[in-house]
Amino acid sequence: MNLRRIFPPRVVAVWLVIYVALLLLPTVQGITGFPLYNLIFLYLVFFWITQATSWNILSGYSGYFSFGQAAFYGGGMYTTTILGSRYDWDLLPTLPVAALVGAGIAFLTGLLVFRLRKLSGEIFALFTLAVALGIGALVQNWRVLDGGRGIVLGQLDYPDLLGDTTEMLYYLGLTLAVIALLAAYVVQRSRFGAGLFAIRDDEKVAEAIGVPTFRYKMLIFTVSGALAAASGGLHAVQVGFISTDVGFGLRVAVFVILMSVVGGRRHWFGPLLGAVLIQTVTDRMAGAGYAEANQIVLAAVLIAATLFLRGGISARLVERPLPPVLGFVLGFVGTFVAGYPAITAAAWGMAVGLVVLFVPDRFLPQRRSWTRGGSAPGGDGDGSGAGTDDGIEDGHRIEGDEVIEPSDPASPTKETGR
Amino acid sequence: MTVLLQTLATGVALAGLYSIFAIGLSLGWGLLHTINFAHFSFVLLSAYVTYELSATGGWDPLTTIVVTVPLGALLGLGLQLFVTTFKIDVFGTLIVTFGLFLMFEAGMAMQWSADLRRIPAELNPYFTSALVIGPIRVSMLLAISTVMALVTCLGVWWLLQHTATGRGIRAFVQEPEMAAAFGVNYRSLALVIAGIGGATAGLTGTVLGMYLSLTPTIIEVWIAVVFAVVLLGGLANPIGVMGSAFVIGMVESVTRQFADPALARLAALVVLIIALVFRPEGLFKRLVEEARE
Repeated sequence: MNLRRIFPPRVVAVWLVIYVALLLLPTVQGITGFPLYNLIFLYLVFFWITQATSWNILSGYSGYFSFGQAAFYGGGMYTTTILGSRYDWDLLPTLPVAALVGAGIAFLTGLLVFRLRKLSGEIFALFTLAVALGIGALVQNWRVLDGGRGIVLGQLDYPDLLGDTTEMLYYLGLTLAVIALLAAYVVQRSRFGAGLFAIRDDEKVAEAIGVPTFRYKMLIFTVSGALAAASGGLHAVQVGFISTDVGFGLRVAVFVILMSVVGGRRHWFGPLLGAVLIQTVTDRMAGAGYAEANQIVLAAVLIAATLFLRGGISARLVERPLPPVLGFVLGFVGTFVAGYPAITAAAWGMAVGLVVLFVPDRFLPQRRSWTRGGSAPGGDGDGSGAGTDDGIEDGHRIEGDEVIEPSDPASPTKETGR
Repeated sequence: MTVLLQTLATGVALAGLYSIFAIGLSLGWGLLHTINFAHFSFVLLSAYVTYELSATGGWDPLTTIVVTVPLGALLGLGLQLFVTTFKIDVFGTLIVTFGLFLMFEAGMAMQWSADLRRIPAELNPYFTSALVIGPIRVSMLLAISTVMALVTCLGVWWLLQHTATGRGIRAFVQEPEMAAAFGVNYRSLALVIAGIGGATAGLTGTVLGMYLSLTPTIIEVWIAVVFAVVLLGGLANPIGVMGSAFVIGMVESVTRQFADPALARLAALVVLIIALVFRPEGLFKRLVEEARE
């Protein structure tokens, strides 16, 4: 496996530029003094990207749909809180411990469920839900952990280098999001990822062609749990008052499922798109006092995406990246110049981009002129494989001759399987 | 001795509540391939209707079933039509009805706010009075719901085993093409089952409306335990549902009596996890074994 194949230089360059720009943002904020809230907002975006990506590498890639995200998120949150508030740990060392706790919970759960051959997808979903609720009930009732009154997490120590709390959350949140996305990216482009996709498409066939299904499922579940828990641990600082409602409620599972389903579960940046989109909408609507309306809209989006948008936004975007991106930029710049705050402008930009995204093909010039290097394989909206912008398109071409496209009927996996 | 009998009685009463809650869900999953998360919303909506009619309308809470049962049946029918129209697979129904669940939750939060809503005690004689048999006391409400559960589950059992509808639907689940060839009209039979499932949600809602202080999120507490009953009971098996509800009700009741009451729910979840690990097909057989290709 050659590094240049997994990391095509142009892809790396594009994302590095974005990463460096995001790293510099707090400094820019210090100089220009744009509203600090933007940084908090971006932290939340990073947080949701991490959560949704950690969910997706298990549930999107391998097809085992989990309702139990809260078990890992809440586990990590309580680990950091207890270590920080009762044992006076610094923040940074708590995060690896939180990741270990999450990995441990995932490992044990996986050991239980993946041993069962007859376990179908629905049972797995409900089983993970039961585990999350069970751990929540345990924490709620066990004095040693919480006992039902919640815990206030005071200020934790961390290196001064990271600036004030907002900046610290921003930097660490960004770091975790990058780690999660990197993991998702590497997995998707590796043999391991191809194996997971094969498990999702047909586990029996995958096993027959020699995919070590049990080991793969255990590994991805553990990684997913560790990522979710580390991010949950950091989020404890943002939340401040930790209770079982916050840690083990349904909310986290709802959002990660929503973000991944809307963004697209078969691609590493599907959850990223979903997280950015849904966090922006939620922020604008809940901020304006429409929390319930927001929930209704999001639920409707979830239903619509399940019914009509099997590959999520990313699948559609891969086919025609340019018009929606242009739509977004126009919408954003237009509203921003008109004097609205940056996040509102972003929300409008996304609205325009989404509308453009779903304009039927026949109203646009020929599709080929919009994508470089040929159309995506299996291109009728199943969202396998390819990227959105030019750099990633490039990456896809390189990937094409190595990684198996599981949803493509003519893929090698299926042929060997039959 | 009295303590033991009392524990048993509480367990049976809880079992009644759980089985009437779970039977609709079990039917939908086993016969219609719909894992209906929105069942919980149907129940809560009916509970709010019971509350509204009796707290502001002055109805006797028990008589509100003439509204809640048809309401539940309509909701069940509507969902079934939706599912067949869009041809949603089992897994899709779980996500779609989860979306519905969230919509209902937000809608009820808008309508009734997040405050606790409870039928005033003077309007709710079933909650305050108790059935006393010798040394044992059971809440009148739970006694009523146990009777309702028995009647409902046995009725459903009879329907599935001894009527043309039941035979048709079982045949279809087992062997769709063959059943269709013999003239089984799945769509209309499925509507019957969906309507019955919805009606049980309405009934459950009325009972819970009398039993609980309602908030839009209160129903979340019930999700795990009800799914536990459904999974352990064997899908679409009314007798199995009663059996597994009894097991879980007893576990809770014993935990409450002899250990920490707060641990009761946890104990039920532990039972579910243990049972799924050792008997993933449930404690009871599902009513209809699907043909495997």
